[in-house]
Amino acid sequence: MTDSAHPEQPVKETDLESIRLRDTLENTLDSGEMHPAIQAARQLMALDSSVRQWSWLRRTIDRRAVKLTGLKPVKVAILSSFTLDFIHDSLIGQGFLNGLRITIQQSGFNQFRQEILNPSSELYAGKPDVVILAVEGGQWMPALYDGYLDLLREEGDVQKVVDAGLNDVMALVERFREQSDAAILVHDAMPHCQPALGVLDGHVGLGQGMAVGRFNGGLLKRMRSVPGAHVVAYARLVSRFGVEQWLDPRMAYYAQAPIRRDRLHHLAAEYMAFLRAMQGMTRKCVVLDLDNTLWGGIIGEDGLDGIKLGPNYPGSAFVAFQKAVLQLHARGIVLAIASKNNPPDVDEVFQQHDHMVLKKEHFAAQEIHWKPKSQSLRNIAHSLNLGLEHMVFVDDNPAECEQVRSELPMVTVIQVPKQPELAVHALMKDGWFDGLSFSEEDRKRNAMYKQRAGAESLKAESGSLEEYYRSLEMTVHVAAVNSTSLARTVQLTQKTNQLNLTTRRYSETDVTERMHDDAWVLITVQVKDRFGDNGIVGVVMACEREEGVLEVDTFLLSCRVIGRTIETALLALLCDEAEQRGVQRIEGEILPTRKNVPARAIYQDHGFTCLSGDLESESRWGLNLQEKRVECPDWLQIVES
Amino acid sequence: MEEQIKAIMADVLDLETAAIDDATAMDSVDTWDSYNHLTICLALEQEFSVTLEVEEMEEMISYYDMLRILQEKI
Repeated sequence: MTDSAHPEQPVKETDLESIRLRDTLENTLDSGEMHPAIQAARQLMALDSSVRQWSWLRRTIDRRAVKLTGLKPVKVAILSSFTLDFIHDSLIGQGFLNGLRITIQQSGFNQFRQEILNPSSELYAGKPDVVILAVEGGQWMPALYDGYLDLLREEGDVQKVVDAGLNDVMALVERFREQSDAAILVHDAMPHCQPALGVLDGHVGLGQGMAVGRFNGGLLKRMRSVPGAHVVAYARLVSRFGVEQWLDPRMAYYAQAPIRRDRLHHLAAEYMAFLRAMQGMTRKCVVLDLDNTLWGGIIGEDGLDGIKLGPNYPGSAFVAFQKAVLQLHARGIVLAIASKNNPPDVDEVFQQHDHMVLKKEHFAAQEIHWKPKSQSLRNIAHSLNLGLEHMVFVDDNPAECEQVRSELPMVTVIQVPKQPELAVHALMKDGWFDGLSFSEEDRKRNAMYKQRAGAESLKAESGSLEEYYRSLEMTVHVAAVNSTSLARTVQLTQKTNQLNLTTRRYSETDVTERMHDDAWVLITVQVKDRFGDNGIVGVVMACEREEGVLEVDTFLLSCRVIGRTIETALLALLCDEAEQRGVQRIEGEILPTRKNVPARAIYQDHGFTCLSGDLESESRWGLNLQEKRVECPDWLQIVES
Repeated sequence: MEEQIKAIMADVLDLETAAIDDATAMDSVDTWDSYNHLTICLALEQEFSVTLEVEEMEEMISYYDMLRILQEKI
């Protein structure tokens, strides 16, 4: 007889765990330990993501609003054609799980047109960072959702309704863009679950289902041309659950709140993937355990023939997991191994097992030994020069997961479920790896990180630093930002944390404006070396001020090329640019963040004079070109285009 | 059931469970607005795997009424 057969059973084990996690969360929040608090909250919500739990989490956060100084504030405005207020608990809660302090501006339902069209509306007055336009298909294409059969009488009319709907959205979004630089997330349309012609939908003329599909395709295409606009794949989200498991018709008619309350946190998660990417928090690296994660069983005990990997269950589920990881690799997520094993056993699997999808060359770093996993993660972070907060650690062993959580609370930990068929979902469901752009650099990233590991070992061999620089045979290609490099430029401003003097995050809109302004110098830097092409790894933005000063606004280099004197070349380039413009002075600020320690001494090291502040605080530096200029090291070959 | 209902009310309304009794009602608790009211109702549905009629939700305006209506349903 199971426990559930006793109605008066005392406290369930999950309830006890939930109480423990709530205590941990409250205590760590009170003492200002933000990372452990976030870890506890993630575990709590993974255990039980019920309506009451989200409600409790939100209240717990709100009550300590003043203490949340470690979180990034993000203002979200929600415009909707239905009541979406009930998403607030889970949206604020999920923001917290992601290190964001979300505040919400909620417009009344169906006020979205007035809010966008009226330049002095509350929407604009609130200066949101992100606006969500959650409007149902029936608002954009009323005739398609209501009165379809009348429409169908005339050939072509259905398409006209689709086009009119698209024009309507586009006009609103463009009006919005004229008034605000905020990012905007636009819902696509959910198809009807009960088309007017039932099973015959689409057999005679353009069906309702197909029409909604065209609308959604058109929406993606049109939003692509609006900087900072993105489409929330609402239809796909609903299809994950099915319309009947998503909607609550009772609440739709009673409170104009059609989405089931216990599903809303999934919609919040969808928004969160965008918000996280906008904040430069997309995870860059996944560190994988091997035994019972990449394959079933333990290689050291079960041997090559004993581990489970191949066409039959459970081996088939592990193959599927490896394929999902390989897709991440293709997407530009760096792969690494952290396994407690004897290296020869592991090599045997990689070299000899017929069903290994992942090969050794897919991994940029490997830590295979018996030391703690936290140590492995630290080593990987160091050798790849990646921040621990950009790492996802995947392991089946709860003790290893706990060890990493407590030692390295900034690492995202995914414990793969016991049933291997659930592992892909566990890895992908939260969208940790979702970014806002996908460029050639992303495709090539893994090769680049392998190069970096190669370059690191060369550094160890080389006698002097200068010899090392020369041996790299580096070429630095500099070019003005153009339409092809725009996406990468924006991505770098959003993602670069370490060698970034000011850490100013920019959108495509911001950069595009500057591209059209002659006062601005916008440069991208591409670095090639004997190991290959690193792609575009640096951005410099400077503005000529009226008084004859070239002001450096943004100066950043990807961590891939830190420690290679590229920054010296860029400063030399700025000197050239200033001279060409007849400007005698270069000035710039250093805004310290927790991460940009490698950037702080750059001006000092290159002979700039400190005008205010010091290396530990916000500081301003200047260089008088009549007295001194920065020379480019002779081991760097500069190519301008 | 009593403890579960109180726990949900405590979470949503920011109350101590010990402070909740039969007299705890919508018109006597500041945080018990219509938004939180629907949150409690839907959390109760989830907790007890029941579906409430809209009329029942409108009747459940105190701890006593919640307990009474849920006991009838389960």
